[in-house]
Amino acid sequence: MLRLSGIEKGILRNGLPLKVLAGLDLEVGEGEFVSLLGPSGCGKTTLLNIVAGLIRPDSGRIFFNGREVSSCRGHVAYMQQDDLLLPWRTALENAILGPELKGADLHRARHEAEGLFHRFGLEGFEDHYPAELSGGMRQRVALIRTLLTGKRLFLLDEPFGSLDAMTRSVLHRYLLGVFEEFEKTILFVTHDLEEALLLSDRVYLLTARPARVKALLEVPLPRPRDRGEPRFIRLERELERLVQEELHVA
Amino acid sequence: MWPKARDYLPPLGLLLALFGLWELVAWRLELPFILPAPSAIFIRMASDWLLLLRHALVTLEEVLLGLAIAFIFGLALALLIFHSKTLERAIYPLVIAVQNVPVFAIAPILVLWLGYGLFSKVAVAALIIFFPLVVNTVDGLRSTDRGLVDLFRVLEASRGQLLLKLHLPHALPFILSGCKVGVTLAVVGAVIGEWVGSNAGLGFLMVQANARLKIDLLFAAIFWLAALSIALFGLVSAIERAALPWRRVGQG
Ligand SMILES: Nc1ncnc2c1ncn2[C@@H]1O[C@H](COP(=O)(O)OP(=O)(O)OP(=O)(O)O)[C@@H](O)[C@H]1O
Ligand SMILES: [Mg+2]
Repeated sequence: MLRLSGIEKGILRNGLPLKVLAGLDLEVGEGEFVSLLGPSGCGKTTLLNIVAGLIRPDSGRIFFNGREVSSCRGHVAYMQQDDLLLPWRTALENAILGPELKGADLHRARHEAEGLFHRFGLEGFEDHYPAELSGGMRQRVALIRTLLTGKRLFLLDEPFGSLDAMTRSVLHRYLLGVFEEFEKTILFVTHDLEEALLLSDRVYLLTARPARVKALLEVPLPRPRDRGEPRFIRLERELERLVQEELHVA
Repeated sequence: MWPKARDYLPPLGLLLALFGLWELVAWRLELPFILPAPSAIFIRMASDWLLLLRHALVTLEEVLLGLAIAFIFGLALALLIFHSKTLERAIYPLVIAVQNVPVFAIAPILVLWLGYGLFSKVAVAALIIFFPLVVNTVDGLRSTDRGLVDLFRVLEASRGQLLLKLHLPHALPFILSGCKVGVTLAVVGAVIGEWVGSNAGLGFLMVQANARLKIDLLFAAIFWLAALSIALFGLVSAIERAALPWRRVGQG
């Protein structure tokens, strides 16, 4: 569904050139849940920005369903690292931003959003402003907004990075539910090793900046996954070892 | 939402105490042509209420018209500056520079050019509100979060949608606080315009009362002026509260 080949990107930081992505190749198949695992500051957000068409790579190509889409937008739903809710809109109004900007039927969008609010445990908070919501609730609203764009491919940038462990595992359940029921394809960025293993079909481990693919790990376990299961623990150890190796190199 | 009794009782009490003190001093001094007693001023306000009201309405009209004109042109200029890099580079530094020129100083020129009637005062009021409003609005438009702009870009928003659904709502608090600052200054501006040359308005009434040694009427006009300023400030604040309900939440 999505294929990146040879993506390179350098930026200027304090006037000095800084290589962020050094020839990245990766592939996400239809209906797959793929995680990008990488140390902080290695260029994960930069990569998603490139896939979403917000910035241009210096070189490399992006294919979406076989068609080259380098630097165009509108083929993905992108949930950025911050929840980015509009403070002047209520939770529900925030959730239907996508359909609203597309000029879709607002009545229907509202109805759909209400269903998702119910499902995500946000009932009764439809008319609250973002400032009145907890961090976990805001992330859920952002997730609903991402869902309502109706796109098949989701880019999620550390959506649960700032949440406590309990809220996070609740949101994992919601996300997996949505992923399976609506047959989405997800490219999920995280720097949390366990999170990557709990959720994804495949994990790309990135090197420290400049980012390259260091390893690709398959996670052939059924969901929902159990952290205590031997196969899970084995994969975790292996991934841990690769991460440690990378940290020593860097 | 509304200030509680606990909030407005202390200043009210202090005000009453000051009036009481003033009353005593005025009675002791017995100089009604320099310092009339508050009671005398209030009696004057009651007996001449129609006269005061008529002139206050003129000043109010000047300020409101000035506000409306400044609002329309200020917003338009701010949008132009926001949208065009060239205009921004050419005009914006000038706007910021002119913002610091006391418009009061050019009131005589405006009266000279536009005459003794309403227009010269409307012009003074409008000019006073205009510059801070433009600067505030441009600041507001510019300070939109980069991430939100990216969000709109990913959702393929049109330029119009970006402006109407992102930049303007984001700038609204800035615009309204510009109006709030501007409107009270505009009252002063209109009155100065009236002092320079006019045939109506509270400023005109003050000059007249002063010339005829009706000092109690002069003070009565000043009281009205203060009330007018406070009322206008309150009005813009009320509009602010109504237009920005989301700002009230999360702050208790
Ligand atoms: N606008 C920018 N200006 C300066 N430096 C930037 C900018 N954007 C990114 N960088 C740098 O590029 C590198 C990669 O940034 P990026 O945000 O892609 O990392 P990340 O992997 O998403 O990090 P994190 O895990 O902290 O979110 C970082 O070292 C960062 O300092
Ligand atoms: Mg990031």
